[in-house]
Amino acid sequence: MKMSSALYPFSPQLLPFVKHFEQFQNEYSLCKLISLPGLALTGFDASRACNYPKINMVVSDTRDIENPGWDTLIVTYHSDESPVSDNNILEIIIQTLARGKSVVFCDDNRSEISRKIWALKEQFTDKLTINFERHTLSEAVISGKPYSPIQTPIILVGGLVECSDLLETVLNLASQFKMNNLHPSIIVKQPLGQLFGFHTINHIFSNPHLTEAKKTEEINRFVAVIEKEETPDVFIIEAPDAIMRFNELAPNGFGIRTYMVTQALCIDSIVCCAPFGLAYGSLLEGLSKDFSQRFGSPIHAVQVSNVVVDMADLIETYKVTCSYSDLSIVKKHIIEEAPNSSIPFFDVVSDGGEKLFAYLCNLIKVQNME
Amino acid sequence: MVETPFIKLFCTPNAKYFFDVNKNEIIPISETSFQYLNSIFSTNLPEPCMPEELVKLKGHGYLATESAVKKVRHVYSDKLEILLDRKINKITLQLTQNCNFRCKYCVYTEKPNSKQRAHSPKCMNWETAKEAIDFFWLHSIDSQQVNIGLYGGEPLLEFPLIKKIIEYSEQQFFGKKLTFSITTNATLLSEEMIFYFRDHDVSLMISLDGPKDINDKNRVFVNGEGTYETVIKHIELVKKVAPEYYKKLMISMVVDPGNDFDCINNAFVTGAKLDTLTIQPSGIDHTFDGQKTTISDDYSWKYEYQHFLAILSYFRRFPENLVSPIAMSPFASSIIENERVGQGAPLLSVDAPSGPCIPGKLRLFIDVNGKFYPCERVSEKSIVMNLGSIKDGFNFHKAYQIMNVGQLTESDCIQCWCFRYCIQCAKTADLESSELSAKARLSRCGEVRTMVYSKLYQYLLLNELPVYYGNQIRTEEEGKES
Repeated sequence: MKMSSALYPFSPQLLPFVKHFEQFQNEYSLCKLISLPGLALTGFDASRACNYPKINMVVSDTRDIENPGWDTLIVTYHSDESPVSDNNILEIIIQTLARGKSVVFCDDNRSEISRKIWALKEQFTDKLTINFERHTLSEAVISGKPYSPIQTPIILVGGLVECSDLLETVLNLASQFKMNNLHPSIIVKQPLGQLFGFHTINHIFSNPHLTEAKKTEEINRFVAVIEKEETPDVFIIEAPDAIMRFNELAPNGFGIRTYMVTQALCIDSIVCCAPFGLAYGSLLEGLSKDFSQRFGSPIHAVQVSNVVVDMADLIETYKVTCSYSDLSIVKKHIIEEAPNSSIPFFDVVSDGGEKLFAYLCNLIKVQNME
Repeated sequence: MVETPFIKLFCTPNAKYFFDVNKNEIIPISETSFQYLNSIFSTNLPEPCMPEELVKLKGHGYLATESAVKKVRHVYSDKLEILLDRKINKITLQLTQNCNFRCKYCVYTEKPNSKQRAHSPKCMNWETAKEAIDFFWLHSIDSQQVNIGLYGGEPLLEFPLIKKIIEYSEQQFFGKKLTFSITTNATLLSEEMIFYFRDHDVSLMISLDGPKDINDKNRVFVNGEGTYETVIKHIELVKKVAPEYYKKLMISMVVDPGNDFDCINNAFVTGAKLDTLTIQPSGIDHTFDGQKTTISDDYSWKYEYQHFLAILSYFRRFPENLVSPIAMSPFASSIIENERVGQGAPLLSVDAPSGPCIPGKLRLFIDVNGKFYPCERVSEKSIVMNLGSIKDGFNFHKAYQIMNVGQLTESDCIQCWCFRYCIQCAKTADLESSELSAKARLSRCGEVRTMVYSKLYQYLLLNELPVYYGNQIRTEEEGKES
């Protein structure tokens, strides 16, 4: 029997996990989403976070810790994106444990808070579970060689801006592979993925003792270990950052981490998540040529996103910030612009990734036959 | 006959350029090319043969004779509803229309002024304030940082309301970066208020126009007495009881260029009472009284001299702390703006002149009655600027009209070399009728073009200095030694 659980702190980045929660693990059922009031999600359907169609799950606030309707609090912490402070996370965990409930903490293994929570585990051995990436660096060494070729096809899902579409695309694809009795190995950014048996390479990027070159080698070894252990049919990797510089005003991380991934691994296919305002054939075809050179693969498919880049904010703050439009605009855009693009356009949020899956399967099959 | 290219020529002491409007690029050219282009714009007949440099540039798509813009429409027109629904960044609440000052240039003064509301005892009640915060909460879901501005009249007249607003907002926005700012004359500041603002990290902008003789000319209490001594006393109180918070205070200074520059500047020179505070100078707003700004000779040449010193300090030839903040502050802003010159996209076939904001998104102003305006600077009597209300939500049609004010003057804007650098927002076209006025907007174009020309000219000069006078520019280390 599944344990009834609540998820904290719910934010737009976690919406794809919520949508696919029951598909990827059998241990927990998700009863509550707990968020912070400032995110303006409490009292609304969780889909409001990304302006998606309703999922019939209303977000509640931290007062729900008292709620008897669930037994386990799943707490996820991603130091780059967490909307809450370390103290707040710790406080909620302590409050939950004090009420006799269990806590599952999904850690990205690189934060100060990890130390405090490990200390707490000594006190609450049975009630507190800590999930972290199973394959640490030392375990990842499988041969003396600095680089191992990966035989399994690799699909990289990357975005022109960082947004929740990437994870939504990854999870929809993973779901389609599973439904077709294929076994994907998944690498995502969010530590919550560990609950689903996914992996993360956050710990490699954040390791201060590795040079960039060593990190790249380590990513290769890490994936080689997973390939050996899990013998997947395909790897689906969420790009660790926006795949390229956005413009002169907002360097947006320069896509450095994604570049490292593409140097560590031979990418078979790139699915590019593009805000509908940027999803034009001519632009994406130009980028695809560039990616062929830089990342070793062209863009094979475009996930048209409902994200709107806030250029007014960008000019003021030099940061890429986004809003989420209605999905009907995405549909309209695809109807109008897809015929003008040699790269096919998809909308995985609306169709669950079925079409993209079929297209990619065919593509990978053809590539492998070649 | 040679067709006129869609460019603007620039000639500095060191080099010649043309600004290609369509491409939004400034191109250095030879003297010969410059003379050729200049002759096209003047009455002189151009040489029969175009210089080779220009022929090449033309081959690469420069020097087009027509504007690339065929239709004026703001690029965010289709996204307006989304952004106002989910991504408002800031609201400014008008807590009261009352003030204990009667500044002579104030746009809210009771003297006959049909274009803006006058001072009144009206205040925002708690219900309206709470509804405004809730509205903001609901419409800022995609904003990572939010700001609430507290404005008046004199907002400190409503300190109990301020406390309620801050405490309620902190609860509502817990988990999101929230900041507060207050624009005040500071004369009502008490120790209790200072500690409260310090503890809640409220940014205070204090209005003061300079030393006593300058400040008290215009900034007076209701009874006509000067306000300088009282303001300074309260600023010193902040310094005494909350020295760290004092360092964060900002001074908003309305500069009357009819005065001698040195007299105004005296309040901020090294050793003066306010020398360590950040100064934000601005000119007197004559939008509503229709008066003209007069600039005294003693203001003009001394300002230009300080501007020159600001440039020297930028290249570490002069200590920055000895430059007047009245000149330094706009110069520093221009340096930031310079980074954006040439960064904007080339003109598109459907495009809009710069200037108008996305109304309501950047700094939605909510008056005591809960009515919406694009910002606090527009007339509260304006029909066209009233963007809706807390009760009725946004009037998207009006917001669309404001952001697309360029459509009123489409044919002129399309042909204007300032298209990408225009700074006219819809306020200049607002004559308080139900429609914006094209005539009013066009009447400001000459002034705007002059300002943009100066801005681009300075941009070019600053870029040239390291090239032409490299040996005379100091590095950071050399600057410190000096």
